[in-house]
Amino acid sequence: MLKGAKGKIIAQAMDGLVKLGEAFGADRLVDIQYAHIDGGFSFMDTHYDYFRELADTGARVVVPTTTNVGCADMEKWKRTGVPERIARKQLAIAALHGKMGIVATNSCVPYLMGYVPPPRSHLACVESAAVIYFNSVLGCRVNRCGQMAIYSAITGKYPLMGYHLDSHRKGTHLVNVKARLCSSTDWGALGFAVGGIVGEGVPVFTGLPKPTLEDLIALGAALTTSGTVSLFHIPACTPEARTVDEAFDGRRPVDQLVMTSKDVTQVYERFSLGERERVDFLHLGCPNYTIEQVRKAATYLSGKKIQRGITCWICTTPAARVIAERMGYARAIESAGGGLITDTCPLLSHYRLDVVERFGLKTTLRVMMTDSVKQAKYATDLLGCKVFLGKMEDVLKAAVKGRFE
Amino acid sequence: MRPKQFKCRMFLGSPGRKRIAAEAMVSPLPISFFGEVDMDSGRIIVKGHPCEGMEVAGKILVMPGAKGSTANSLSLRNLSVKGGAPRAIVTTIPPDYNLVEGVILGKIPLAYCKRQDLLDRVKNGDRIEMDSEKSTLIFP
Repeated sequence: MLKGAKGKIIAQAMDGLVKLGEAFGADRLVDIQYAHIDGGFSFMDTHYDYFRELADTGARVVVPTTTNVGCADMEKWKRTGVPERIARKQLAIAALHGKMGIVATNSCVPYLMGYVPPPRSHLACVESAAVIYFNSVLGCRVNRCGQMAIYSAITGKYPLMGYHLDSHRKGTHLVNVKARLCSSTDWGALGFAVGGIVGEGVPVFTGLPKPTLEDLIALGAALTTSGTVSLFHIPACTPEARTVDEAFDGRRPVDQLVMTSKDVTQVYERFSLGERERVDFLHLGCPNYTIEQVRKAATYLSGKKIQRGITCWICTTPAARVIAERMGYARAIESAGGGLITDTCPLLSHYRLDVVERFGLKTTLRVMMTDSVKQAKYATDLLGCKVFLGKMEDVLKAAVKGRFE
Repeated sequence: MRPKQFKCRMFLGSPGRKRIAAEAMVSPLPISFFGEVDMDSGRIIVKGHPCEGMEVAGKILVMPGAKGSTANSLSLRNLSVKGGAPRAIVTTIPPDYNLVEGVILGKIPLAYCKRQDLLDRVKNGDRIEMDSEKSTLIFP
């Protein structure tokens, strides 16, 4: 009987993938090498039921599969004030994932946890910030996927369309950067300015300084926030284009942009506050902080105290937290009054307006400080708060001193 | 004379009944099903939206497109199970992958209509029809 049920769910998954491919004119399905699925929207009733149904049929993933951020820190959920009911659901969903062979990374940066498919691998991933990184920096092939990514994980298939095709991966916009970029937040601000203009195109950047890993992560995440960019090229840096010509494959750009420091400053101005605003939340780690970023934040906070009344979440991967604990970074952050949080994000938390309304919660999140443009934009929409954007050092300084400078 | 029919492109047809009829709900702005809509009832909860307070449930939702990404697919599936899903969706911007995933999971017919005047031609409350086989939208 189980075999029948499993057969049925595989058939349902294949049917769904075929319908998806047909809708976009795909010729066929391709084999994928990796999948990244939703982590568990525990505040949505049917999410648990969906995975329960899948797990009970005996369906198992046939490719390495990880999960995106969820609704609660899996180990330290009590610390964040998340309602117990949501946290327990999150844990239950993780157990179902485990049953199916899925690894509960619960992170938006699974590539930082060792999931680095070789170039040209076909993938099925949720999380637009991860999609753009896999495509642009790792040379993989993936579209912005949704809830059907689990169908790809259990069948090992995805329609050959979009960024899985060579033809779709060529540059559309030439972006000449004249702006001075001094932090990964600056790179994010640049990405936000460009994404809004480029929309769903493929920007090709020239004039950029040599990026760090964190710069590329921030650039990509921001491009997916103001636009729906899934791929960018930095000739002689990212793998698919050694030159501008190669990026455009002989075609003329649809448009050419020049981005200056003014464009970057304007993004900061959009997310700025009056001097007298009282901040109640400080967020770092969108996308999840690397170990290096955690180290830098911890080094700054060491021996200092964050002002009372400011909740501080520094979000990272569960793997990074293990090292952070071993190295004393977690202790430095916690002693300062902050929290090194994993598995969740304010954008999926009990601070969301729809979750507050649904569960009748009291929320006091009115003003947030963050070093991430993506967080700034989405927090404004989903959490209904005002946001101040600043680079890491500046927002940490403001949280300790209690004022902006 | 006002046109009675617009051609459209079916991204997902109606299973079974090829021609469906329902009351239209018209949104001049894109809608995000994750965050802007109550996840069970389909009521638009985002403040300041022209359709704030209205419910998509059972209506043919006519809008430019869906805003946001991944979670739209999840939300549409949830809405379908909970009874808050639209009867069908029509967009004037080509649907993205997540919207199509959402309608496949939620079994919601989806059409794309190139004509930008669609959002003026149809009014809230109009009883309209979608013919999946003929790829046509029919108005009163």
